[in-house]
Amino acid sequence: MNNKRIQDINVLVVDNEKKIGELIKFFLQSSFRFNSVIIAPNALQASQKCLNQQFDLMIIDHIMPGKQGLEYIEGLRNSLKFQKTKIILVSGFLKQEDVLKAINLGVKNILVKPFTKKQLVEQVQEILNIPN
Amino acid sequence: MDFFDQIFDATIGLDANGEINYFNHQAVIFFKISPRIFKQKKELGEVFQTDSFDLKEWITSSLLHSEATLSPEIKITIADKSESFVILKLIPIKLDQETSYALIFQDKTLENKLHLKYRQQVEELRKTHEQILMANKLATLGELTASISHEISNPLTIASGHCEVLAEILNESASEQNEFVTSTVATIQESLERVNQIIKDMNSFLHKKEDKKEYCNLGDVIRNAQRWVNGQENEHPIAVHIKDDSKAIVLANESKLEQVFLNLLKNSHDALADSQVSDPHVDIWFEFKNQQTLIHLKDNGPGIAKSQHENLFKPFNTTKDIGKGTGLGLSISSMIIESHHGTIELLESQTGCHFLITLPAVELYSYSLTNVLEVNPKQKKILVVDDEVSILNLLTHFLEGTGHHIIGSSTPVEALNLVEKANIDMIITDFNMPQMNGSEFSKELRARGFKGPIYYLSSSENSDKYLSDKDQFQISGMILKPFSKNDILNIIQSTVKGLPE
Repeated sequence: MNNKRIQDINVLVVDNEKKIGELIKFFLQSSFRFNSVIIAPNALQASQKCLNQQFDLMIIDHIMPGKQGLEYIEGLRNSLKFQKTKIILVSGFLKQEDVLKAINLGVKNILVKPFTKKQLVEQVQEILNIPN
Repeated sequence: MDFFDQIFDATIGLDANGEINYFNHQAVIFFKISPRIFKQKKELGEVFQTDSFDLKEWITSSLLHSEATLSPEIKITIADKSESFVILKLIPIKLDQETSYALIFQDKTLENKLHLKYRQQVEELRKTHEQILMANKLATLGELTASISHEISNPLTIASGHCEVLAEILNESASEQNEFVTSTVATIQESLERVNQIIKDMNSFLHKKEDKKEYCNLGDVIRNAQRWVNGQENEHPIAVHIKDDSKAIVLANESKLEQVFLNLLKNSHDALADSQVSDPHVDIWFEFKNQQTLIHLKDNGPGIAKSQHENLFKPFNTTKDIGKGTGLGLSISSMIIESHHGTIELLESQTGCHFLITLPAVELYSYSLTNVLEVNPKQKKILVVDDEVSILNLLTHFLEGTGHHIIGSSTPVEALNLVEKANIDMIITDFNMPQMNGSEFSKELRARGFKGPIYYLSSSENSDKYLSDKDQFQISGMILKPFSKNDILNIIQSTVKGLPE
């Protein structure tokens, strides 16, 4: 992402809890000048949003009705378009197997709920290589 | 009264006053008193004692009724201080107009012992059952808390997040009135943090690591298991060929893993001993791919019939002769492997058995054990690359309680893969490694963008290499072998201080 300007970055937040999605959006917008932060309440709508737009960062909740976050990420990684997409996994509780799976899927940033603004911002800075 | 001798139980004849007037042969044996001395005894109290039961009272009242009576089971102590449990039978006998009594001792000692043992076992069984129930309950509770904690974490996130938003807004428009509101918001924030801590504690209590895992060399584990198998029956020792185990390091419970190989080798051994093949042997080799360690185990025995495949890993399923196998070996093995997040399967059974065990690669597995979820910026993840399991275990042991985590790696190549995927704060690497040396490894690390501190771990002979690499790859320092606990802790503490939180 070194060569991409912050103003051009698009972020997709996938979280079934509307308020958390909005909170993440608020935190991001108050810290970075991203081009857009879009919220999708579930995996299905996330996929639809992905059809029209390429996202540089996805912040995905692990436990959602329908499809679980990791399952969804697994599906994403299977398609060429999303193999290199940067992903932050948000979760309240992860089992050992899930952690293994996440790392294997190339998700090294895991954000534990409840998170603070600082934690979120740091993770985003790290994954997008944004200097302070 | 010599018909008493026909009775198999010890019998004592009593007259109307309750004095001894006869004893049979069995009584001599039972009370361990010679007939010569027995003849001198008049009172029952001279023959045996009993504490819990008023014998005199019982006999006098029984004599009055002149009916056959049965005592409860009583404990008696005889001349040599040994104790037995008996039931007394008092039977009146009319002889020559005079009434005598036969006091028959029914020895219940053996039954009593068996009964006690039975009761003990029932008690143990009951306790085990309770424990199983308890364990089941705990497991359910664990799952429940997992889902509860996730459910709670959502509203917690919203609440604490909005508190932060509030605090920010208040910060921007500071005034006297706002000060009170600010402290109120801070109190709310603190309470939310406490709720969060309670859930975390609950989780860590219910998910205690019951078994300790350490770095072990698969080759050593298998050789140990082999020693057990061949030590047991020396008639047909089997040859076990282990190919290239230099890199085969896993993070596991060593004794449990040994049990798996013991079971597999024992099965191969039994199959090979029965089959009389000319060159009985087991081949073992390793593969490393996709962050997994693959262990192949193949014998040249008769194999396993297709019909058996389905039930192979189910308990109480055995192909061995009755009494030879319990049918538990493979099911236990598969449970152990599963508890290590691995798999075990039978690949082929036509030309001997070919088992494949898959275990997570040591790098990935040790990384996942480091509480990735504990967001504590003070806790650092230190990658140690060394093919000596003792070094990995030693460093892990040194850092216990400091809050930092050691992630072990046996090969630089795998270590590089991990560094790309995971967040590593610091690297300590051995210098002399088979695939690439410390310099090449550091060069590659820097080329892939690793910015954290790197330390060499080596003997002093490589110090000139360190000096030349020092500036080129920004090597932070060199830890000389042998090192002490304090050496390591000092270096890590001072390095960690310089790291960003």
